[in-house]
Amino acid sequence: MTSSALDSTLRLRRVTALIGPYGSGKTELSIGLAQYAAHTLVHPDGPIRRVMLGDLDVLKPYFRSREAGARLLADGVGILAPGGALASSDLPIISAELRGTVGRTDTALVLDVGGDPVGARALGSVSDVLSRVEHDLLLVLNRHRPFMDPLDKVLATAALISGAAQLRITGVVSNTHMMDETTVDDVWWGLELSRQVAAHLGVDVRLLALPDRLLPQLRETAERAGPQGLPPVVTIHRHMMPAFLGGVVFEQTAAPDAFRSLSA
Amino acid sequence: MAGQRLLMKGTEAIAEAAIRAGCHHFFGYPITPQTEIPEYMSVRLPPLGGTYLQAESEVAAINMLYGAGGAGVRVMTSSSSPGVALMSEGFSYLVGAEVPAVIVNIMRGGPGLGNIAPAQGDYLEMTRGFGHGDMHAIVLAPSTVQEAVDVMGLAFDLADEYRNPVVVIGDGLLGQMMEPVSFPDTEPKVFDKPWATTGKAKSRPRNITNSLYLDADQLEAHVRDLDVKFQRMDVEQRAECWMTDDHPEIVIVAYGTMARIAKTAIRQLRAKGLSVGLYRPITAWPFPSRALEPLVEPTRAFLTVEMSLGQLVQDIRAQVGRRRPVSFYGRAGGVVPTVEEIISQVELLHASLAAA
Repeated sequence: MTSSALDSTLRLRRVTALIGPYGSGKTELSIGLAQYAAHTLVHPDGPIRRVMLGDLDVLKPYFRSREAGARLLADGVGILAPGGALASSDLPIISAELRGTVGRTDTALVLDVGGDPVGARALGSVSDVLSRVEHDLLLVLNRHRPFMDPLDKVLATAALISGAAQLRITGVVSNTHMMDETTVDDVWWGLELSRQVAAHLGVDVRLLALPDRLLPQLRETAERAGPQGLPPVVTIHRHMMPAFLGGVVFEQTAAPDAFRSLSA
Repeated sequence: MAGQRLLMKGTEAIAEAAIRAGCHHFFGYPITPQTEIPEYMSVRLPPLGGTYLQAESEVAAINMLYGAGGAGVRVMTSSSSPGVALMSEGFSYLVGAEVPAVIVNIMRGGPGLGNIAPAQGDYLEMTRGFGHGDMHAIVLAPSTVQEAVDVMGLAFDLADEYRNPVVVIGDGLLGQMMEPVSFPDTEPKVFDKPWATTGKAKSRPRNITNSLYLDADQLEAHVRDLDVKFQRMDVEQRAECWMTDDHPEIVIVAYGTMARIAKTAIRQLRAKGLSVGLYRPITAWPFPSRALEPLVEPTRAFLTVEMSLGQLVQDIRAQVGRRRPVSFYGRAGGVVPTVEEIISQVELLHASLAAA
């Protein structure tokens, strides 16, 4: 593993930013990715000594990654987000430490960027420092969301987001889901569009994300991946849950392997 | 595949449902936690030939509804607690001039500027006649994103049917959470609106949208006419009684997202052997008394749970009176009562009933 790789299996770079419209799953993915990185990458003497999650979501007022802060700290992930009472504000604040952290080669950084082109402007504000380091800008795609189907709509959205971020998209994460009602058909249906989007952008589908419970069915139907096979598969554990779905918000969960990468 | 269902935020689903109910005109001003409604409208309405206009204030927005609704088109605005409060004067004008319109209030923590967290502190403000003068309006309180979709079509129909504005209330969680939804494939109902200000035909006198009656007797006659209409709205009562068929010992009363948290608590309480059910108003006004009444006798005690320090509970106490004890549990300021808190409240109540 080199210092520029977040993980050799996932082959993500040290700084990985997740972008995409609301509801594509950036927050859950970024939490899982950061937890996973903290578990697999951090060694006292290794090139990566700490993992930080940067909450750059200046759009949505609830269910933000900063709300999982205590859980993340327990898992060895530091969080970059407005502190104190400002954490619960709807002010477009970007943590001042972000610019410095981007350049630190001993720190793996996962960035959760707010949905849509307006949200991506937050990332654009650090695009000068980001463009000087190896980074990935991954478009997270959930085909069940409004304006994310068909292809031309996704490409238009992607162009706007990438333009606002002033960075080039380097990969696609296929994360088509319907919350608890996701089926394996949804996963395949989403992957089909993700591949088309990736092909148009000249990049790869870098990850296929799905709920843990669907893994057996994905394996059973693996031939649907076609000759190109599956991209690396990751499972997500949901953190951002309303109270009525699972008791106290954000505090239940998470086995360290809540987010796992699987060699497909 | 799966083209029919979408994964949507409550706010987006409300906006899409309004569009499908034939509302192509939106006037509003952004405020958290409902800004996705105007944002969504700003994307969807122009290609439909509709109007999306960000007003300079909530006061302006509600008066734009007065104009558009007076011209007979389906029109709406949305805001959150402090922004909605600014609309109360214009809202009363809509009632006075009998202009149909729909107003969505995604409630946040108050009073004052409060915060952006979910709350239910506007219940009394919305249900007691939101505006000056003798007035009322139907208030719908959905509990899921799908129900929010379903009530939007109803809201526009009721507004047109009664020529009166209709309010839809949801706490911030309902606005911000995402759930799979589907939309009705029915065409919106079309109402004949001979009163609308669409240009004067030679065959009829001028149509005027007006709430000014300088003559006291005339105004009283108008207010009495309106009052007859408000009384007719009583038939619109809607409520859900859940797990009440077996006459549970305790009935929890809650609406909106609070009712969903209560349902989770009830499932867990029933698994522990406690006898608990739920009464959930869907119309906050008219208060659904007819669904509550049959529960009063068989129930030993009621527990009202709210994201406020006690508002809906006033309606419950007014109806139940001294027949049964009505206790209350609430959190305010954007704090949401948890499943565990409700369970412990019910267990305490159960213990006190057993001791009595």
